Amino acid sequence: MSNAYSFWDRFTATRISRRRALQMAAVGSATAGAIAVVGCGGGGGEKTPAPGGSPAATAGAEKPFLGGTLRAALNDPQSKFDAQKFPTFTVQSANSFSYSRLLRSNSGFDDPNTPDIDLPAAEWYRPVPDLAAKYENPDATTFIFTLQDGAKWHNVDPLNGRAVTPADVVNAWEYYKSARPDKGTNLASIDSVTAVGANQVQIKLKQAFGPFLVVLSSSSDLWIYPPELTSNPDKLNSTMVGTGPFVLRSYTQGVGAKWDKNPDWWEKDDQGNRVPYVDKLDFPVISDKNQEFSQFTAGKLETMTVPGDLIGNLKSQMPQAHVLQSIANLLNFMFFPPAAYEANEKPFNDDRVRHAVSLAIDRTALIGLASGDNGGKKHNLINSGFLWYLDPESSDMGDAAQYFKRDIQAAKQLLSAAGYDSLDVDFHYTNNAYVTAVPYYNPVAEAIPPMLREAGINAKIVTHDYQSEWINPSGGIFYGGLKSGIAFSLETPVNHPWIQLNFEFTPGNQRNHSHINDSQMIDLVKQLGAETDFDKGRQLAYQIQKANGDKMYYVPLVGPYGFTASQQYTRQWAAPTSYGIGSESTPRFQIDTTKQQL
Amino acid sequence: MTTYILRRLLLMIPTLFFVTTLVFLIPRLLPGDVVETIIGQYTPLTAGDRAKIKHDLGLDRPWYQQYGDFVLGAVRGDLGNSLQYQHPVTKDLKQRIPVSAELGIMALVIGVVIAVPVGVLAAIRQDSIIDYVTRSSAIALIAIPSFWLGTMVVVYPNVWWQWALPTQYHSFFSDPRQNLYMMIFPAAILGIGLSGAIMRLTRAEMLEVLRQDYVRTAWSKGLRERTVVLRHALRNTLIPVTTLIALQIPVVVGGTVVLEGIFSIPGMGAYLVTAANAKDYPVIQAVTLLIALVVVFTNLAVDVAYAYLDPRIRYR
Repeated sequence: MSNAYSFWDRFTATRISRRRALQMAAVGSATAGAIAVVGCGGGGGEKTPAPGGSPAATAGAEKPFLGGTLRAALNDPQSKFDAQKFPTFTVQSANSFSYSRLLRSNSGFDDPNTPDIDLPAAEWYRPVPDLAAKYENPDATTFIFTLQDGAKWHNVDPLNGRAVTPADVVNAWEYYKSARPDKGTNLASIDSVTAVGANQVQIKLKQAFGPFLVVLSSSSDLWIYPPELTSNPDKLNSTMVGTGPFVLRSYTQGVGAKWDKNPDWWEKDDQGNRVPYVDKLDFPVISDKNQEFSQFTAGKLETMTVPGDLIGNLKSQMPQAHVLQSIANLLNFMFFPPAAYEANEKPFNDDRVRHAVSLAIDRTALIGLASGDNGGKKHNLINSGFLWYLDPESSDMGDAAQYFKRDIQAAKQLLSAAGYDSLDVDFHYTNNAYVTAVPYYNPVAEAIPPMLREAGINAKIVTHDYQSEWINPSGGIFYGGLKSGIAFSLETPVNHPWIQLNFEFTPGNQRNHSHINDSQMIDLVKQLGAETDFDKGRQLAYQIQKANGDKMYYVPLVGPYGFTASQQYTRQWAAPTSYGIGSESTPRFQIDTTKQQL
Repeated sequence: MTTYILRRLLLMIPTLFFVTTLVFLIPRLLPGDVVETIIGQYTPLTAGDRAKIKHDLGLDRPWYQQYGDFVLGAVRGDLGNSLQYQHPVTKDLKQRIPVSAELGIMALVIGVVIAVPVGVLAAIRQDSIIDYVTRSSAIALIAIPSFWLGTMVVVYPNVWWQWALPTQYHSFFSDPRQNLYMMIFPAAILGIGLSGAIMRLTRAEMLEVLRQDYVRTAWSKGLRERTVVLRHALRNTLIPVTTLIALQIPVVVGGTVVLEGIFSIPGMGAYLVTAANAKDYPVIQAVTLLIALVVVFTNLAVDVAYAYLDPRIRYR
């Protein structure tokens, strides 16, 4: 099949320990506080692998449990179902139950009967078939996707089960281009999408783009919406009628959502059983974490993400529950004002000062704080929950490794060498965005300034409203609006490092937070975008991480362990690996209904 | 009485004018631009985009025009469209008002049912163990915040008995049993919180009334304690207590904002919090205006109730 996939195939035989795999995986838990649905994805190593068919999974599962109702807390999409206009994790997560993409991300699961996680490392984020059953790429810029045989829209008004056509996909692409607020940056490489025959779609690229299939499979981008809804924005926002594994039965804002399984979904397991295995999904809106925890331990929810400070309680109350420990694929980091690079403005125009900032940070203490003393890893620019991560203290980092260990004396010396005995700076963060979704964000933000002060960087906390001051596209701090001082932020999870690095280093990109314009970084990112070989791509990602460490444009911080739990009577569960959990993980989730309390 | 009520209704006009002005202006003083909130975090807007959206939402007109529309609309029962959800606010309110009203009424009833008998008992057994326990409990109930009590009710029964409250809301008319099962706990928490203050006032008023001449006369006539307390003293005791109960309405509203979040109840409180985060002006205006109306009318109702409770009171 594709050159783009060669790197995946080379890793399919390599199994890894559960701990190692978990360290590399998982967007989910803390990231999104996404619907705590977990399940299996699996995947073979063939050129067009059947999704969710890891051999170990099938062997371990034997005869699957069929039926039952999966209950989990819903992050309320607030009556916005159009993930093109409102590409937030709550909307994307809700979409993933009802809608399809052409490809989706492979998803891991953990069979509790086996000692290791049943998914090879390189399978994480591997694109697998969704609405497209297979594809070919006759040349580097042409991809021909063949749609699933007999694919139908949900048998609900206004689609009423009509067959999916290639024109529907073309329409969805046109809608994506017109509706997407960021004008579709991630898929800007696409030149055209055209229908070919009765069941094929051809995508032509402007130029070769290595991560194309991975980006196409991302839950952040091309959802296949029907023309009947895209032509009616109100309808598109008020209901979801797609081709996904679940049919929306009801949604009440602030109360919850319910889905039934889609009996017409195309996917089957290795034994010929149709998936989804569960009959129904019942997701109440529960905004209070203590309430969610109580519901879970009382057996009224099948899964939940568990904050680090509650994991001890969970293990003592429910020693039999399945608990999956992972580092979320989510970067937390500090950055500096654009004026430091655009106008050579002091003091952060000097990389010695930026290194001093990094040296002042006690990352070990932050890990303890963020994880509830459950441990974690130091992030690099690619976060420690992601496959392309380079340990910042490894020898591959060269001299830059020293800047990830706390050394107050060294920090002071660097400041002094740069001409500063001390610095008075503002330390900016948004304090009203992540209280529930990323509960460690605010405590970490509050812990950093005292660390900086020990090194002579007198940081004064300045908090910001998330919507109006942080992510306001017109001058928000996250979008290049930092006037002075240091900002602490999170970076949206991605399924290929090019997406994040392209944001961060491409001049003019909205998410180039500090307006960095460094030809070395630009060149490396371009090379990464064009690279189709996994090993070479990974080496490039390593080089970019090292180069960032050398210049410390962005100061990566810490990846604490997070926890996802599921009930003892469930099988084939996993930490969600993307916001596409509805079609990636959930269809293979199994419930032993004889032990479920309803 | 009719004249009095009419006069009170007329006096409400400046009060409501003041409230609506505050309600209109304060959300607009919040930092940030509502356009970003509505469109979402990923939208890079040009000045033209922004102007068009503001025009579509009517936010480009002078504030006094917007205010005038808001007031005139409110008089007609049109509270505008939610900026977030792009549909009439009244549509959401119709669903959410009954939920919060049920919670608030249940809380008030529970609070009164606990507070009045206990307050009376404490007064007629002044300086006894019952009195001391009651007074201490009342202070404790006032001091304990409802959100803390709510969290404890969520956490500890679960730790001890693996028991959890229901989180799937059902309206009273669709499933009364499930509805009451879900509402009774937050209502009890709110009600218990209210009962402290009511209990203390009931006790104090009852003590004062029990020292009145007419009560002494009743005692001297040889009436039974029950008759003296319930027929002669209690009615006069309840006059200030009724006022206090009415004054608890805003406390109930504040409590529901927090407790609805903890107990996953889709009422006005949760709606207001979401709207405030999103700077959804019409929703914030509508909900706070509604709360103001409830408070104002409750006070009127209490004043009118005085006449019923105390025959000596005559309004002119």
